[in-house]
Amino acid sequence: MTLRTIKGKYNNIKNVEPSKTYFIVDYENTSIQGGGLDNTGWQELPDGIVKITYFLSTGVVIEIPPMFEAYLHLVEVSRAILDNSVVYHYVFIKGKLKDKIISYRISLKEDTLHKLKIGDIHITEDETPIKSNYWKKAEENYVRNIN
Amino acid sequence: MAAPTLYFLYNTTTDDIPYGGNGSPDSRWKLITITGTNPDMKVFTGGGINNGLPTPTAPLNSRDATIRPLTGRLPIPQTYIESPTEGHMVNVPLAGRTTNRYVFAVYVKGDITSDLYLEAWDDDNFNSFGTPVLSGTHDYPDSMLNTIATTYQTPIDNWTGTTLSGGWQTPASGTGVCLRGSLSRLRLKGQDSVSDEALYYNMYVYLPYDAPLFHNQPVEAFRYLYI
Repeated sequence: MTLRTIKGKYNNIKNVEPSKTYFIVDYENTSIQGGGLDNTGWQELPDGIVKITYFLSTGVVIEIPPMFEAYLHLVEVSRAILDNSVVYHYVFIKGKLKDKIISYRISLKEDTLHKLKIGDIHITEDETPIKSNYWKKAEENYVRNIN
Repeated sequence: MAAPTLYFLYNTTTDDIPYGGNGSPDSRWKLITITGTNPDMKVFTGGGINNGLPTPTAPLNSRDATIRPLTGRLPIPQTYIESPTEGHMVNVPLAGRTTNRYVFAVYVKGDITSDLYLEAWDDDNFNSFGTPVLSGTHDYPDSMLNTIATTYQTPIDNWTGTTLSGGWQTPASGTGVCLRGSLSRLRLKGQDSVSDEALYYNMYVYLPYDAPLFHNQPVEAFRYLYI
């Protein structure tokens, strides 16, 4: 288990170790492991995704259900201007269905002020399309006809 | 994809001219050094018994503690970047409640897949805003940290911010915002994509007459998404 602790005046944050937090994407004949949070490698992934599994530095493993037409990966961070400190807030895995998008928000931090723990997942549904050049298509045989 | 690299810059001249580089300092724009054990600091000062600090530079650790106004609010008149790397404090002459547009810049090298949000927090936990400068006073319950996105347009003279209860201002609005955590923040572009470009903002501290005596060091932070 690897954690970063960021001490503030009012609170301490525990954050995942970014270099040890990554995804593994399964394809029909192979798997590709991403880099850490600072160099995820998502852009270079080919289409044809079968399944995405996310590994956090704390040992938490999160499997995204293999049922979407396409997937999008995003990292949310805050960077302080004057001391270069960084907090990794969330990883988002977004899955595209026919008429909506399911968003898996995975918490990368925890502190004493909020209930959210590292590895907690918040799932939301969004009917607004998300335009991005970085959607990766799923392998057709693994897309479920769910709306 | 690698995480994008952000370069924080400030205009050291009175020339209201955009930054033309791609992350390196030039004859007008200096980099705010953010690495090492003694990073740069943004200092709002002046309006005290010393009638301000010297320009264009002042010795490290110089301060002219601002005297509170008898009524209303006072824009703290001077802004410096205190730079141990430079060996002194460097004045930012265009900063303030004026029509100056190219004052502070963030150059984004690489791709951000959201807007670049400017926020202010008590510290680098990024989860509280209880210090006086961010919480305000009894008669002026706004954050004192006024800022405006100037990426697309010049601000109006005597611009002020408003404190939002959950939202942001954009460059297109031409309206300032008083920074308070993620409740009241600034979008520097107004679009959900930023790539290899500079975004701009201006900033000042508006000190109310009923402010307590304080010396706060809130954190100016940028929030964004990348793939």
